Amino acid sequence: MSYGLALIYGVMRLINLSHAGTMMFGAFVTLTLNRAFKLDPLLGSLVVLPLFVAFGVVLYIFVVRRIARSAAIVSLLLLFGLWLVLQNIAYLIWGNEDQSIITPYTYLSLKLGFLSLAVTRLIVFAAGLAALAVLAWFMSQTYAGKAIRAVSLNYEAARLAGINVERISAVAFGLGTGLAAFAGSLLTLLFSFTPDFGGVFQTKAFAVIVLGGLTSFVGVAIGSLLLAIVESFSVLYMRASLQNLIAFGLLFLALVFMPGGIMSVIRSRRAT
Amino acid sequence: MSRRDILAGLVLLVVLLAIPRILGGTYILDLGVLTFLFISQAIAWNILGGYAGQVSFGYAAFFGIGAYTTGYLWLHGWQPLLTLPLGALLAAIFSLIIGLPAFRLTGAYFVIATLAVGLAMRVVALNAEPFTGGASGLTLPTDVPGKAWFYHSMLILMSGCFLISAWVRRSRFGMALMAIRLDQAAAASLGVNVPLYKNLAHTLGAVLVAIGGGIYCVYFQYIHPDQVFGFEISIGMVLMPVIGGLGTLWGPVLGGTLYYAIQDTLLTIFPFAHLLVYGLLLMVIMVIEPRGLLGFARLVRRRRPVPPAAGQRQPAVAPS
Amino acid sequence: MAQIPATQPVGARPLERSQPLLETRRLTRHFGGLRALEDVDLAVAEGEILGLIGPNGAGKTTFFNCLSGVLKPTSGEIRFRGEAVQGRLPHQLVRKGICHTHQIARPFGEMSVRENVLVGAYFGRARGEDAAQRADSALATTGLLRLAAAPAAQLTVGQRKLLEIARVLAVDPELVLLDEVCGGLNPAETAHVLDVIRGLPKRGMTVIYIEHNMRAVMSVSERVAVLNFGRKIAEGTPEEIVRNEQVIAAYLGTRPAA
Repeated sequence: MSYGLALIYGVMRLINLSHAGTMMFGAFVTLTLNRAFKLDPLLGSLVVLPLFVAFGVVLYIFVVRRIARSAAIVSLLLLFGLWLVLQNIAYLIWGNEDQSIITPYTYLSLKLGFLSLAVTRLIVFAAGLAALAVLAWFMSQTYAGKAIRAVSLNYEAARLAGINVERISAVAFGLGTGLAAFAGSLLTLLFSFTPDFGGVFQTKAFAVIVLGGLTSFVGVAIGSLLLAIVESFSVLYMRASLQNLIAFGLLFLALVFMPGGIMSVIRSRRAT
Repeated sequence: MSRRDILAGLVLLVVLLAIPRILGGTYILDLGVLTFLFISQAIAWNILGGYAGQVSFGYAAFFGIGAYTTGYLWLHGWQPLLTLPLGALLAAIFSLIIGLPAFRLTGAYFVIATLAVGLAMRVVALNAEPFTGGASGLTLPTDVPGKAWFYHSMLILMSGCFLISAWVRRSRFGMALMAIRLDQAAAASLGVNVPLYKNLAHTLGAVLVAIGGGIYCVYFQYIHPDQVFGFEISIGMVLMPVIGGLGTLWGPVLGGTLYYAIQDTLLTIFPFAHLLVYGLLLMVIMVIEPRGLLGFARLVRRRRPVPPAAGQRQPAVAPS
Repeated sequence: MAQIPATQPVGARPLERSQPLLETRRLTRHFGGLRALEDVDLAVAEGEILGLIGPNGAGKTTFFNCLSGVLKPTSGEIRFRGEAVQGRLPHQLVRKGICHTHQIARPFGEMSVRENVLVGAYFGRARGEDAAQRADSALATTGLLRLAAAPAAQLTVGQRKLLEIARVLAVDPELVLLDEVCGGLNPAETAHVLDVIRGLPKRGMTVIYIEHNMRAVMSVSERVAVLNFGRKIAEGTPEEIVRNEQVIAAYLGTRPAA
């Protein structure tokens, strides 16, 4: 249930135009986690979102754009480097210990019949869904959203159609960054965190995406649900320290047996 | 490998053999062992990462497998040297287990998958106490050969890696890898069996790295998951070829040599921020000159105007 | 340089073998709701040059992508020499003898022209036998020999298209799929390419040729098939096709009823 967030991550990947941004995600999660100290995290997340969208745009303009026309490896390594930088800046500023944010409602839970649900998880789930809805609306109804989809499908054609690819790329990049940060700050409600939180979560998010299929919204939703279910059950049987391997294990299984993710099994398509 | 390369290689070999005899003492031997190890790792990684263009951030997994195979078997009475091929074999198998599914992913996704593997291996090693000694690591017997033995064996490993790398470069295998790096789909359309070659490169690198891991285990006499499966190892293997020149023959050698110095300096000046600096380094290199030092050198050579030949130099002062 | 001759196409050759070299049966490919190919039945005889035309978006490149293994058909069969090959991977199909060029040329920029062609020679059907010879022969046929050492990234559009062909020649396939190789070429270059294409059957190759340049495709093809909205709407000799009402309607739109 709490993995409504994974949905966001999955969607964020769908925005990414090139291989950009995927590594960023982890870093931003880290930073925002720590930053959301000042306000109640919910409000904090709303502040964080636009802030990081701006940051992403700036980053794009000064750094990413320079290498936009180089080989894929270059942007990959660049962003990985960025991730390292951000993660370690976070270490330096906030240290290595667990941090957590306690709010008046952190320990509350809601009773629905025989289920007892933590309020925080509900909030996060709801926020995640809301974000997803807004994003879906944005991608299909606004010019910018459609342009982004166009560029990610076919760069040349989009350019020929008159889309200012530079600007749209900056927007998309910023958006991806902002969403990651948003997700991160929501996470503070749920977990205690350290700067290298990003790595583990990235793996999980990634597992979700591969499980669901790399190209569809619905697939991502199914994937995150699957992951959540498996993880909840595994707590009963496995040592906590091995927990994180579950995502990895699922990921591996998915790759071996259904490389296109669940959606591909459903539609029997081959991803080109 | 051009004649110039062969000559340079031989000269270097002679120099490396001579130095410890001239300078004496164990410091140079220790330095050599680690530097040669780094360079071997860099060369091995470069086959998949530089030639084929597939970036893996999880190569520490193979280093660790090599190290722990040797460590575990040694503690059970095996001769360490015999364990090296076994470690290599295990690494090869593991690389196929990962590679066959992982190479179905493109670009960034592949990178993340390999990263996940690397991180996962560390966790597994920390937890698999009966085999790996878990969080306390493995302490190994101390009756090992002298430092000179390690110096020479690492030198042999490094030379072997270099020769293999040079051979790959000129072979059909290398051509396939380059085609894959440049345009995977076009390569496939011409008959290149892309998954096969990617896996071959991956496994070749894994084997070389694992052998290094095995020797390292005997040399250091103590291994711990954070050390041999650690992220530092993985990222080191990426940085070295990147610094020196990704996809070139000598780039990893150059990068590996510098890396030891870099690492040392960083640990003394910025003990906690070394990863930060690595990240910055990656970014800076990618933005300024993605082809590393060798790429930069080539650029400089092309831009510089041809200097006048010695005999035509202008006199600095007009003769009186 | 000669204009594209308004020649008579090579006389329609009777199908010599009972079994076509390539045959598609009810080939279908959907992309979600988009029906790119719908029940396409097409047969190509050994040694012929089949032109494939149709308005933009008719499904021609999708058809090629299914034949070459880039896409897996949603349903239907592709039989090459009687063997079902739909859904195989591209490099497997190259082994079998099917090779294609790309609509937008994709040279290996960092390699020289010769190295580009060598990739085809080494990994193509003959698996490296006489690779250097085949490469040079391909370069000679396409007229790229004098550029052999040049980095592929420096070639002009026309030269890149020729390089695409040269690479495919080096593979030495039985069936060549040419995708708009004349796109963006001037008349002289176009004539040169058409000459090369005409010579392919003599080298033992069968050709399916997609092209927008109508005169070009009509002048080299023995038979022509027409796709529209994913369906085959006509098939026959170039003269028949040119006069076919459905084909004309497809390209120009139907006349409103009087």
